[in-house]
Amino acid sequence: MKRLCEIAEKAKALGSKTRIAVALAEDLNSIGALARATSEGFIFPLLLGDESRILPLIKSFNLPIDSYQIVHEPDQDKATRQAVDLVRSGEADVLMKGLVNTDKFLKAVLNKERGLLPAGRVMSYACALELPRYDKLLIISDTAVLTYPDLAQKQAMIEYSVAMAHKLGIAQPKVALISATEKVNAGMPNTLDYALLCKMAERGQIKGCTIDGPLDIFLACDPKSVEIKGIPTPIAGEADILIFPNLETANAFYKGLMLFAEGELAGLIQGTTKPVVVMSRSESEASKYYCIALSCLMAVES
Amino acid sequence: MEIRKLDQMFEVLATRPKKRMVAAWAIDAHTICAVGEAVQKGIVEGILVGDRQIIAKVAAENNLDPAIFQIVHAESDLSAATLAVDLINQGKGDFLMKGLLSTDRYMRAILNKERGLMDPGAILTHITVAEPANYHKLLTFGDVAIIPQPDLNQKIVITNYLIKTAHFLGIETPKVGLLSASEQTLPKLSSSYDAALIAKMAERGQIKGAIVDGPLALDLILDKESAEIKGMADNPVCGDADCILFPNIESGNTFYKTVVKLLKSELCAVVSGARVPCVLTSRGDSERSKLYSIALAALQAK
Repeated sequence: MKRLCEIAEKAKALGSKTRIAVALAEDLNSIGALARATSEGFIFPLLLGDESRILPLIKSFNLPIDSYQIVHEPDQDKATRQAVDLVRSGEADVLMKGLVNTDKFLKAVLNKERGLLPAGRVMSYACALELPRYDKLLIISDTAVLTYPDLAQKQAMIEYSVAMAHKLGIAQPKVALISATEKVNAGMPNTLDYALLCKMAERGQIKGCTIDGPLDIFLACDPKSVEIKGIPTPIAGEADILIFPNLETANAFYKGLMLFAEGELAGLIQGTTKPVVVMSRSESEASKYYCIALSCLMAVES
Repeated sequence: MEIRKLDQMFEVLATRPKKRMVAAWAIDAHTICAVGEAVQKGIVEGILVGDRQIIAKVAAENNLDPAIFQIVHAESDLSAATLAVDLINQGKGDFLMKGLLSTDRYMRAILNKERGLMDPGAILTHITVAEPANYHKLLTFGDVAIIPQPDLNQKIVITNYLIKTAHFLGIETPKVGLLSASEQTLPKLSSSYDAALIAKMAERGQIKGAIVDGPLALDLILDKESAEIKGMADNPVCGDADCILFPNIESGNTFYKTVVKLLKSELCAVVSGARVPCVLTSRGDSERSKLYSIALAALQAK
């Protein structure tokens, strides 16, 4: 898969409407992102919040009146909790953040009794990037949730990203563990974690992918650099997944590409029982649409 | 030529110029006979440092002509150790052997900052070469005697000495198994972590001249059939290891003693890391084993 529009095509081809519960659908940002997918017929949004605020926004898109449902709940906290409950009870397939503040939203997701994260699961974030100068989609993690992932969290990031790649039809994704160099160096502790993760994959403790690291971005994504440096790596400059050592690096990497390389993305919270969409307002319209399309694919039980 | 039996060391040494061994405080029958046998076999020249009169007497008692040795007189064990090390530093000897003095005093003379045999930053380690019954080749392993709980850096040093020793035995690309209790990388088994790191470093060319893999359990390292049963038959090290890195002295020492006492197999050992190889036999070692240790040191001496 090379382009994010293929994710939308796949979502359409599912032939069913994915039910998305939106916590506080009171802003144009969320509703605008949902409108296109709704009109294309592959989602059915459940809009929670104050009906008097939602109605004028949704009406401006001229959607058929039966293509969405408004659930009136003027209290912000209650609306958020209810959205989570809808997903828990199976009345909705995907949870999406609307106007509610991110902390409150995540608190509801993380709630031990009534949330969406099973005990002991790592919550993370992964997104697929479409980059004009890279000839396949590039899944990266973690740009948003885990700040300084430890070994177990890195393993979870890999497993989530691999599951996403599988959903996108990449049977044996190539996972590159990103550092500044390909050498194992105790002075850069992340390289030690990477060496361990490689061995775990080699021993079958991490499945469904090919892993190598530490590698720098060049060795991960540029076959020419691999040739020049003469480093034998099964990634061979054709990575499908990049795992970053920390949030600053991953976040700067993707934002740089959005800004300077005309990238688009489709990302989701990882680790939850059902997909959770959290989009920033600064994301492009196209990226928001792709996030929703991706959530539809990921909501399908494998 | 690749040495596959300890006896073959003598054949190789016969083709080379004789090395000069210096035995510190060589006043007991054990030491004098071992050096005497090596001299008579024509593999070394023997320099005995000790009380001239005692040496002459003990040699005569054991039907050895003192004239086959060069004798350097010393009054005490301490002065003999210092003198022996001095001879090496003056270029008058090629490797060292311990006589009747305590291991502690012998090591202290080697480690002495001003007059010893250590380069700055060098790490002293004990390397054993065994010829275990039922195994198809020699096994080089460590550390069974000096470093009780090697850290990652010390393990890398030991691994490099194992490889170097195997090279001296004519094994071009030795296979090194990094011992743990399982082939998996497990957080509660710190040996498995270090092993995975060292294996990755070897893969990246940070450790050279060998095929290195781990973590591996002993059955996988030594037995092809176990490797097949556990699905590791393709692993180049499994069932065909030339070297074993032990994660701690307890495991290494137990293996050493199992080889000697239960398998009734011969082995020899040398202390590596000083400017010259140092022989450190104990009175419990067989005559044969002492001779092999001298031969191993002679093979390694410059």
